[in-house]
Amino acid sequence: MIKELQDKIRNGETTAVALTQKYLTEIKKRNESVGAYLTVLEEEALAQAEQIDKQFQTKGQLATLAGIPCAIKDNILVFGSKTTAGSKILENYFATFDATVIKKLKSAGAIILGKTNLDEFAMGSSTENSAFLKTKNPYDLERVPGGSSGGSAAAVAADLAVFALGSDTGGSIRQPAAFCGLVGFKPSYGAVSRFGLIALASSLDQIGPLTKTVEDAKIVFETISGQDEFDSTTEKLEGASMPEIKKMRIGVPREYFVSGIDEEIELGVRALLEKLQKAGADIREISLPHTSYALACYYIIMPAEASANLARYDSLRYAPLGLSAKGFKEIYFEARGKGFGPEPRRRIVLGTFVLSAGYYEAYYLKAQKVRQLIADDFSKAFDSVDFIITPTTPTPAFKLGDKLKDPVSMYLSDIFTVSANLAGLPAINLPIGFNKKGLPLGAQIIGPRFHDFTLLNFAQLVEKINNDLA
Amino acid sequence: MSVAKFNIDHLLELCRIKISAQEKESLEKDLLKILEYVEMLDKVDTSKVSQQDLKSHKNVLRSDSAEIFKTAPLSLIDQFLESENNYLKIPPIFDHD
Repeated sequence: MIKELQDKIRNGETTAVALTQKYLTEIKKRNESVGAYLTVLEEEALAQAEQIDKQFQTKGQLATLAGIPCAIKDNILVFGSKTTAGSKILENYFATFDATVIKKLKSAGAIILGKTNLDEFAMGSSTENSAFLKTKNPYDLERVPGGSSGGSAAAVAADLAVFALGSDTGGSIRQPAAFCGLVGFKPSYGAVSRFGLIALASSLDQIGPLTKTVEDAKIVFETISGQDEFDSTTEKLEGASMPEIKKMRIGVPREYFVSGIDEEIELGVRALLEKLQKAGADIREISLPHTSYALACYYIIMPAEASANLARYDSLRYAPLGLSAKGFKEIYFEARGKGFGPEPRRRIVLGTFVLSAGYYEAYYLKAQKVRQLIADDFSKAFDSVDFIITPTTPTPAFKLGDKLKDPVSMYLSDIFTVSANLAGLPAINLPIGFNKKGLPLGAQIIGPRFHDFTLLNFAQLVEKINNDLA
Repeated sequence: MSVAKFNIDHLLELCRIKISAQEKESLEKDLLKILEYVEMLDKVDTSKVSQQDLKSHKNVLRSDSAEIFKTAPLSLIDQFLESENNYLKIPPIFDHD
């Protein structure tokens, strides 16, 4: 899509301003029903677009994302814009610098249309935990778009942006991508700078693209990835050649096809594997023995890190809430009680508990060790296969309100995605079709750490085979 | 880790969070459910994972340099609840009672 749109700008069929205007008009018409955006940056977007058009007129060249309108999850800092992370405690916070990914998008010429809705501090799987509004799934407005990057997914699926950035701590890009029929890519831990991303769990968070095609995901990833001195965990990745399907060994972990998984999703993934086999790939059943412990492990490590990351919000330095308290301690307690919704509270308290004296070893250290075993499972698997294919989610998009009252049932929607975060691996959701109700279904491809470009190339191949043999 | 005992009031104090009695009750219930779920980790044999495995990280350093942030339309200082000479002004931290 990105290349086609840029071709249209090049041959004069459209301009960056016209394209931006078109998306802004659609947002005005339909954002209220979908609820994808929290903030629309109309003036800024049009000014950016004008500049792109001027540059194109004088230079005759377009940068890789020049003129392409995009949406940014509201936990990523865009200078001068309101950045709430979906939380009341940041309701009035205006970002004072650009995140590294935003700097890179801007210098590649992307047009930022606005900031998208999310579960508060990216904590959730349905975007219902936002303090401001509930985003709907564009395929069925009674259903959730997934989460936590639900606003970003809904924006792209509803054609309210060409692509969007999300963040993924336990599945928050891939799960909404699966629910909304999009490509959603979580890069290797360390592939994309987290500088300017409001932290949830620092050893798990990654920023990545939500797009209509793998090619678009690749273009965006190429733009935003790379080493950054402001995120010491980042590494420079090498490019990769296009893999040949006949040489590919694909692992299918038996632990991901368990009872409870939606039948149509299982059939869809199996059908995809059959197509790949027909195309010449070597499909092998493998075992990732610690899979069933991944979610429990995640629900110790993530809250532990979140409780530390969220300790900084005191409502004294920025985004003051209207508080009645006067003393220092009173302000602190009131701000955090009123400012955080139920899910952040649960995770802060849980994280504080698992890190507290007497429980640290039994919970946190134990979980760290299990995390190592989960990572080891993958390392062993990648000795004999090139990629792993699994379902992305156990069910398609569920109805609004269905899981809101029971946190554990909500957490279970991430059961197939958390492992890649725990092991730091790149993983992508690929749309594979629709169920009888017309809801999108997705398959997940997981690759070895830092083989992001090879994984994207492979995903592009799988996408083509899936479409050609449809 | 079996059957975690936690004191919700103490935890909320550590977390600096004040909520109503009703909210506290539902939070407590949710925490019990989550802790019950994560108890399954007890079954995993982690005896062969050494502390060393968990510390494969290296230090990455950079030189510190001051950067003047752009201030328009709003600087961080503009967003302070109260400020004096560009310093954040807050109520006293220590009580005298």
